[in-house]
Amino acid sequence: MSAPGISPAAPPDAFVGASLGTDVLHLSLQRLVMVAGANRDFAPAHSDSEAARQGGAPAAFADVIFVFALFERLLMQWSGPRGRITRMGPLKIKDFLICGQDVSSTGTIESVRSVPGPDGVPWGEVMAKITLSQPDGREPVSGSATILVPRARGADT
Amino acid sequence: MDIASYINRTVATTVGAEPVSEMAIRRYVEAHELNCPVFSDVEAGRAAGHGGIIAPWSMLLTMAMPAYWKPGDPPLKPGFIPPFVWDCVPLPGSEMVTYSVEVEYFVPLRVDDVVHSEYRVKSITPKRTRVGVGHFIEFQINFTDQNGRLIAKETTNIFRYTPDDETSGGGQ
Repeated sequence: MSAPGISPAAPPDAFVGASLGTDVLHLSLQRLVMVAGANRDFAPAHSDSEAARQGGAPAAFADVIFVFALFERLLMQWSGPRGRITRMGPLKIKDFLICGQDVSSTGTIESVRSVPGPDGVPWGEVMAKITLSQPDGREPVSGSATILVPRARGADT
Repeated sequence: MDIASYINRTVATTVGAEPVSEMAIRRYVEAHELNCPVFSDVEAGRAAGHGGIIAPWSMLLTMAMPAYWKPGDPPLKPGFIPPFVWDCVPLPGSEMVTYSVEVEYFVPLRVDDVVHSEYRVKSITPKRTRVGVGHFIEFQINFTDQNGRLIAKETTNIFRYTPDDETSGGGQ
């Protein structure tokens, strides 16, 4: 499961090849219903497995906004509260993130550069590749994301 | 139908159903277990340089969504889907899937912000895929707040198609 807190005392190490860690959330049908109530995507396939099957999916599946939120959970867990997401995507949706299984989010840093930060001093602009996978071996979603973090150790490459 | 006439022009504008509120943020944070204090704690938001709490970045599309129904509207039909306007270009096809999506964020959403969306079509490409024959439509959506400030830009590729097999699927 995800780390209990996402407020590291210091900016994380950021270097090409470093891991963003892992975030795991169980995608129960109950969770999908809860998420639909909060993110307002009430398309039937996201909370009704029969409706999802009629569209060709094996079960109710996560919507695009939920996918973005899964990216955000991983990014903010890694960065701590000062992280500022500047881009999510392009992400490719290759398959369904279906309920009844865990979803694991992992990421690897692909580039780091120093940029002017919101407080006027250099921050690290970190671009990472993120993958969402399920225990049946599928990787339904992958894509990149960029986040600004206070000047990270080893920020320049 | 002249498909080319839709390229590089605004094809739809929408307004989010409600302003960003602490209640909406709280429910979103709860549902996704977003364990980050800047979304709920004013002091944490200030300490992070935001001046107060902000909405989760991923919540933009929720706050950009128009209302499903308003007083005076006809009743919703069974199986209704979110009121995004991906069908604003009159292309053939009974099905739509999102193929890729990207959002670039410029400023975070704050309480009382109202999200306005402007849809432009960047390209339309006919294609046969494993699920059927149709068109890829690339949209660019500019999101602005109630003061006209640019909040974010989204680029989304939709595949609108007629399925070869009614049981075909493959998107979110």
